[in-house]
Amino acid sequence: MPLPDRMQFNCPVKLICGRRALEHIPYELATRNACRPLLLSDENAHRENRSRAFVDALRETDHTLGLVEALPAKASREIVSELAAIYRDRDHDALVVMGAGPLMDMAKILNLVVSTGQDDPGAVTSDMAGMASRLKPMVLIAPAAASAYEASGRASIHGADLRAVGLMPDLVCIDERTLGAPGQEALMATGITALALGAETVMARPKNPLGDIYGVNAVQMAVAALHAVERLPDAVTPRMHLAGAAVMAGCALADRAPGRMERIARRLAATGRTSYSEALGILLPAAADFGERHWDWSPADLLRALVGLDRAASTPPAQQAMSTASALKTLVNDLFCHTAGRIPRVLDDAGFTREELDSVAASVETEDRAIAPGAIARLFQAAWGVVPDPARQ
Amino acid sequence: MSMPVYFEYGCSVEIVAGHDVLESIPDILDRLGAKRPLIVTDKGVSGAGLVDVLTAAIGARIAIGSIEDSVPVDSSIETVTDLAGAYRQQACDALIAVGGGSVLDTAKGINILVSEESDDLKAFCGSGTLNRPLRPLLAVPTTSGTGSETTLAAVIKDQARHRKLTFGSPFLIPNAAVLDSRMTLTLPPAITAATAMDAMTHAVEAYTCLAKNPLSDVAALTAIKLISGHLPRVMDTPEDPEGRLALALAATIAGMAFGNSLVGMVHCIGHALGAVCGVPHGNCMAMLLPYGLEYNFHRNGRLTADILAALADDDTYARTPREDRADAVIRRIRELNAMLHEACEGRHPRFLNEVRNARGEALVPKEVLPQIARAALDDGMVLFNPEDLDYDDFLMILEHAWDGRPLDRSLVRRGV
Ligand SMILES: [Fe+2]
Repeated sequence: MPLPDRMQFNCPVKLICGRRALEHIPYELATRNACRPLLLSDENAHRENRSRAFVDALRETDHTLGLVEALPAKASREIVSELAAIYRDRDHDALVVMGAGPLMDMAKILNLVVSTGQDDPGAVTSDMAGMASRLKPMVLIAPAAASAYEASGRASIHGADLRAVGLMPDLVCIDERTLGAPGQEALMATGITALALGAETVMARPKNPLGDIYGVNAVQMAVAALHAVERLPDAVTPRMHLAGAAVMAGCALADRAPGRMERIARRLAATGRTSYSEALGILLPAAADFGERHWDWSPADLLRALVGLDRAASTPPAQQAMSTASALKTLVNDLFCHTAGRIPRVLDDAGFTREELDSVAASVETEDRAIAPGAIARLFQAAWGVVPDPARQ
Repeated sequence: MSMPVYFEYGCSVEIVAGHDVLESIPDILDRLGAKRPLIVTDKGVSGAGLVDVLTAAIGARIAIGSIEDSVPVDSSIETVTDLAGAYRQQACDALIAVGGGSVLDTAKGINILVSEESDDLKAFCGSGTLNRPLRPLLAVPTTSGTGSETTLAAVIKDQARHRKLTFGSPFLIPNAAVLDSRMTLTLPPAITAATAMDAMTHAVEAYTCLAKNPLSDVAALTAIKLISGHLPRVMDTPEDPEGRLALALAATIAGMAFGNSLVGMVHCIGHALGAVCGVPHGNCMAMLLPYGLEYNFHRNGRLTADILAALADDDTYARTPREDRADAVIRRIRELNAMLHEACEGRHPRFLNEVRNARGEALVPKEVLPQIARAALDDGMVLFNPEDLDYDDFLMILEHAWDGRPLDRSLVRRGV
């Protein structure tokens, strides 16, 4: 494994996972000098009364809990300001977040607001989050259906993107009582996103063995869960794996800038033809193959996480990259079959037109020539599903 | 994929690793709001010119408060208190620990005193005594073994009472570990070998003992692969920066693995052997690792077998019959020790009877084995070992390790 000349990684997240993990939170807060947590929950968590388990876990401790429940699934600065007022007025000293995506975005901004004294949620910057140790403690109680960005150092509000290690939660708790009971599609979307984000971390350059520890785990857990796709909504283990996969993917991203596949998937999703996770699922097998030839990616590094040690080790080195792409194709095709075609395998399945794809290719704003419109068009050709990639011929 | 019923994993240290990363220290300190660091080190490190490398890299970009190189082999309360005085006198606002475990532990102790504005280190002994962030602390390791740059503990000697004080708190974890290949480039072969085998043992025990988890597993296998891939080359070409960087990174990653999933009997016996006979920790690990794997074979042979791909390569793994893989791992570790023994011209002992001091006297006479076995019983890590051990078991293992005989596995009593 050739190492780059310089590597940097920082993941301040402590993960506590498994039976009665919630009961460890009061102790963890106490070691961070906090005893007045404010719990925020989103609509899904509220509907399922998930906060109950946490309230129970705090019983017989000297913690004082505040609750703001059923927060809307769209991040807004106004809500952040209201929450900041509550946090200050009631003298809270930590945040506990029970929910996904936008709620965690708001919580990250909120934590900057209450920790830095910058009152305007629109004026906080990534630099303010530079010093993780100076911010107040923040805990994520991870759900099974997630965006996979919750544990990352990224936050997005009103189109403004922040990126800093200080935005990552101090503690992430995965406990079967607070996984939630989302439908199969939401769970599969989580699995595909975590798989794709973890896979991009592991395959892309420059190599970072520290981030890969989390990337590999994201992929292993996502694959284990997606293989259990029929049992997903009901069984505990696949939901534990999904919550884990999403957290690992977020940790692997940490404060890194978005990857190439990630950027392209965002633009595909912006057309409205597919969701973001579907776009990632469509792109991933093609990107593994395309990335090896054009982006210096190393799909072979992913094979073991996808198919296990025995199968990976028995694959000749020269075939490992190809086997990775083909294992990814098989996985996405299986999901298509299990959902009777609801999860698209290729761009063609999602109903994209050629013209739409050309305009998507032209819309990725970047200095990176490797994802200039021509390059993206060739990747799309490989992900189209019908026409063979001319570069292969 | 299986998950343990409950596990924890985390390592909040920022890792910066590379060939010229000492130069980033001013930026890291700036980000942490510090302007005037105290450099803590020992005479060995400063004598080897490593502090000069560091100060040259930092240049004039930041004012160094003071350079203190008086840390002894075992850090003590007196040293910590003295250096805390130097920190205050020079109006420092951060610490850079340049060295191995003792230097870092000393820096952690100083950090407690200067952050808590106290002169009584003993008052902060144990865990739960610290409840807020301390001053910024950067670790610059000069060996590639202990992994202590990732841990939340410090051990400091109370000379007056002849005992060791242990401190544990998440606030003791360094803010950043700066792994620069220049800091280990001139490490002598015998120390390179011993420290690398310490890191190897951290990884192997983390992967094969009871408190393992999915994150520490990947970390452990990554470390094993880096060490086995680069150690032979570094022994051949000591000034190979690529290899040195790989070993430094491996030691840190192995530290993350065992910091979260702990270790087992190899460390129990190793700690006892170190305490009773003064054998360097890395040497203890190298000699005892094969015995740990042999003793636990019936419990974790399947896990030991997994290691073969990281220790050798995929192809070797695939070509070795399933039932022979764990034995192949044990054999390869012995072969690695034999190679290191040769490369160090005998200064990397393969078995206890071969350990000598500078005057050529045996450090582990056979008569002390019972004393080592008794001391090993007191080590807490025995709880995380896959198979139970009592005094007779420890003694039986030590007798084999004394003259380097592979363990007679028929003598292992299988607990329930
Ligand atoms: Fe050790």
